[in-house]
Amino acid sequence: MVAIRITGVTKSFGEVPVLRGIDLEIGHSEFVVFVGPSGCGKSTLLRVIAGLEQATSGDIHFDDRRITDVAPAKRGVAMVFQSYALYPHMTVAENMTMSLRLAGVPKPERRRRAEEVAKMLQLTPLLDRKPAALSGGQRQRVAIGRAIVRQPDVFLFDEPLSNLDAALRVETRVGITKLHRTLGNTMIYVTHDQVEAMTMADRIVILDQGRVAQVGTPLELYRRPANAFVAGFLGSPKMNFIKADEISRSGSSIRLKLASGSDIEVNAAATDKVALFGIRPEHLTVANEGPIAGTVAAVEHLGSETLIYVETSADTLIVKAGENATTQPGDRVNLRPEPNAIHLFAADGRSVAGAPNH
Amino acid sequence: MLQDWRFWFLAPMVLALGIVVLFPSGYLVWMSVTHWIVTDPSVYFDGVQNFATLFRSASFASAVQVTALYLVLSTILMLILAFGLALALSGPNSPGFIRAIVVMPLVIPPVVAGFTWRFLMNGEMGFLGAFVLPNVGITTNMLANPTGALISIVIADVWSRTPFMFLIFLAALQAIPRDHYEAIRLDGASALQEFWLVTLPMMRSAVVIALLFRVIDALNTFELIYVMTKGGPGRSTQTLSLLGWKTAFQGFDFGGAAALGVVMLVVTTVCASIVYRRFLRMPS
Amino acid sequence: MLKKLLTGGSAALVAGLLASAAPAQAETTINVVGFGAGFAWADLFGPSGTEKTQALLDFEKKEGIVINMEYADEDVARQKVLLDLVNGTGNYDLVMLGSDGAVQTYSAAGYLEPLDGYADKATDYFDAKKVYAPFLEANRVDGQLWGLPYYSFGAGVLYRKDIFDKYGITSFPKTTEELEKALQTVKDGLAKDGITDVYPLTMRGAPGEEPSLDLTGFVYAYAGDSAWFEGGADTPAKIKETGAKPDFTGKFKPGFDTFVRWSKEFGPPGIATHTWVDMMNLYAQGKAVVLMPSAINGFAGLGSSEVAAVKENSVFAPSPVGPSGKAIQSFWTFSVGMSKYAKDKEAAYKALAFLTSQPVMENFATQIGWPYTTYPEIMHGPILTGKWPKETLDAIEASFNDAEPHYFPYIPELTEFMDKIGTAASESISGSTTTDEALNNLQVWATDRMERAGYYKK
Repeated sequence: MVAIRITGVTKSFGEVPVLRGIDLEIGHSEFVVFVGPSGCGKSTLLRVIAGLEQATSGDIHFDDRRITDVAPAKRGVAMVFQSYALYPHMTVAENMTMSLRLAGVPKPERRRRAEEVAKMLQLTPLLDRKPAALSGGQRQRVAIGRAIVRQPDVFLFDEPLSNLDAALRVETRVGITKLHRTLGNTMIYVTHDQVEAMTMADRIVILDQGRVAQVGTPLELYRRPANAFVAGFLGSPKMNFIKADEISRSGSSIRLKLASGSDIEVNAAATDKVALFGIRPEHLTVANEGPIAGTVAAVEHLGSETLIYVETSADTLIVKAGENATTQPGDRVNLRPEPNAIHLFAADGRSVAGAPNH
Repeated sequence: MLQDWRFWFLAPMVLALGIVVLFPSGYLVWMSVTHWIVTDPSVYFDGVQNFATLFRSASFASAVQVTALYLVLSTILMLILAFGLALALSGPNSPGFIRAIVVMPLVIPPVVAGFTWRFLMNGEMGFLGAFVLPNVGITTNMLANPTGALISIVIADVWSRTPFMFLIFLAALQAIPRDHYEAIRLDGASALQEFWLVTLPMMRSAVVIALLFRVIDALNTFELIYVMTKGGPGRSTQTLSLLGWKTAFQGFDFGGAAALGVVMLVVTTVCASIVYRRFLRMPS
Repeated sequence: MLKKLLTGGSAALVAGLLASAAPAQAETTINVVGFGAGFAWADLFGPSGTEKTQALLDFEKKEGIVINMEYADEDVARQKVLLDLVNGTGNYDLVMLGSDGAVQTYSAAGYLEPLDGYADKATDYFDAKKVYAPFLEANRVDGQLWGLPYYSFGAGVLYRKDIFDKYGITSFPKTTEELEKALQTVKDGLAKDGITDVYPLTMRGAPGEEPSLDLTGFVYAYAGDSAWFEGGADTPAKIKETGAKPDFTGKFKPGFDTFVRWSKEFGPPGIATHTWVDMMNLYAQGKAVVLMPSAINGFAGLGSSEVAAVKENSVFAPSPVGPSGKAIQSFWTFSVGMSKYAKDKEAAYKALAFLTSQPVMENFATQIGWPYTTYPEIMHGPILTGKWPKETLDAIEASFNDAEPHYFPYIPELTEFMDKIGTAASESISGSTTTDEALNNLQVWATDRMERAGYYKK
């Protein structure tokens, strides 16, 4: 249970920069999720923390201990790999207690620890099997068990659920969250799946092209994205973006010309010039009157909700409606954004006015 | 089975295999129990006489010894070399042209390899035998000395066949996921422990397959030895396959040669199936 | 090996099927198998062995016979002959035969057609009276002729006169005893001059049947007869009649001992693995003073030698005489015989006679340029006299006429015996056994082998 402080960490593979200067603090017993698209550097950052990659520059501290140059095994971290990395020639028990064996712990003690952890993860009957004889979910639990046996200060998860089917993924997600509550360790979890990030994290770190795009609790990020990238990354379906031109501004009221529609009056105290108008699908409604007009291209009934795809003169917008929506493809419709849920961004993507009251 | 219509789709394959595999083996066994010497006009069933003669002969005893020695020496050397080279050259940064050079001997036919090494090792004119070795204090004529000749053959054979093993090992090494190494590093393993606990166990089937190939290959080695020493000096490099050739084509004793063939077939099959059962079967 | 044996057998089988299915041709086709493409019959089949020259086409047109030559490596060719004859396919009408086993074995097994009955069938091409008698004699088993000679040689010595002169030996020794002294003188002289890479003697001592041609020639010179079996019995009939047992530990020993001793003391260190190629190369490179008793291997090297001293100072001498009063032998002929299963034997003989005829042999002599030929008329003809001094040719001719081709027994098991004898010598030279052990092993094996072959059944 340590706090982690990352200061100015960069990492390049040859000429290619992958991490471009990361500063981050992770608190005691916090569950932090690194999320971002492929190539954003989230896995590399995790591996730098584990010590599997050497940072090109910058420092990492676990509490007050500088571990930048400490060997991976000495950092007090345990990692669960995407592939699980179980040794195929060893039994479940041997796999789980490899670290103890290498540390010279006697065999009976190793067995005792393996049994203890197995009980926690319902692996007891599988202890003497080899990985080849286990299901995907069981292997996943063994990989977690192996990490638990080590009693590390920090748990590192590298996309641990991506090889599981959807149902098992939900189940395991809950399992890991529970585990965090039980053990209370600091955990860092890497995923590209924003649902995992939203559901599991105490705090989310969103990475974009080797930089931290934003750090915060899931709802903070959802409600007050610092920029268009974060706004677009979190939320499903993703936020609708419409190009906008400022026509006039008076006090806290801004008049915008939307690329796909008519003028709209927004109440916001924007500091910079607005270039992009953002609105989440759940904050658009189909109405008789509205600033955005278009034709329904497709309708998806998902049961509890309905997704309506509306083609406007510039973009296709998505509307999330209730389960009883009656709109048909081909209908001419008008869309009305909920005034309190509008996001405005500057030309460089920075958020210039949120929708604080949402 | 015959009532099952599906069998008849397999039948042509079974028949073809039977002809290709079983017929020659059956013919061999038939020959091995036949008194069939070209110099003797009468050909007749002779029971185990060919085997009795074979087991009594000094040539057979020495050939078994030579074959075993050659097999063990060359295999050990090859294993070490191939493994070492594979480890050294498996990294993503190792230059491809070095791998190409290592593999090159594989494409040189054994006859050519044999001639090349024979000329290299020649004690009167060869580059190695006449210039290099004497200069490092080895004045024994390698090909003319019983031990030297065997060593020369082992060297030539290792040179010629190591690349094959190297390729098997290289492929196996590169197939070991990086995660396994990282996991054990996190668990606190040293480089040596990494090798013992991950590399070696995960290479096991590759090693066993390479050994299987090797044993069969070694028992069949003929051209290389024939060209380099003709089995000499004396009988000191006369392996079972050379003895078989001589029995058939110089002694004209087809029955005797076939008996030797049957013995080799049985030995090879037994060795191979032990290795296979012991090491290669998947755990159930 | 098994693979070879089996695929060889089935290949012969398949080839036989194909051959019998081939449509009948107006002309007779004679198939020949041999080795040495570009060497043997290069005047007929070209340097590649795949063409047909005008001389051959003329013959084919005149006689209505098509000759198909199939060349292979020597060992492969020998296997092809064996498998073809054993299977009785008649694929090959004419087969290459060496006088060191093949003639004896195949004639005894009944695979060959005796040629005596054809002697007057194609005298335009081959007339037995016109060739050196020993070359025919070498192909005679049990009084019957089984092959006509092509490439043949007798015993002799090729030596470096300059080096002999240098160490005060003015003429080449006539006896083995004198020669041993001379070799010692040369050895001492070379040592004194600090020359370490020239050896007094080069011979062949590799295991296998080939070096035995020379080794058994030593035995003959020391024993006065072949000395393999008691009383010098040298045919199956004589062995059976007298019940002669192998005698390898008896009269065979002195010649064997000498061969081994000379090899060890005067020969190059690798001699226990040397074949004719090595002895030829060593001599050609000027690294050996005396090459014997198969002098032809020296002549073979002279042509390609790049050492002036070797080219200028090599002199032929007759093979020295051993204690028995007989000379060391080395006699071989590469002959062509006819398969018992040849379909048109008259045509096959005609082709055979043509292949060994005087014009063909003249072309061969022109091509190789060595002072060796099967016809006296060629020996004294312009091709060889223009190239070699008369005394050399006379001496070589004398070695043909004085030769005893049957200096080893003519028994069907000859190849196997030659192999074991050669291997025993190789073992002794390399020092892996003593000569006594080697000969004892040979004796035990030979006794067993002869008994197995039924020689001593009453």
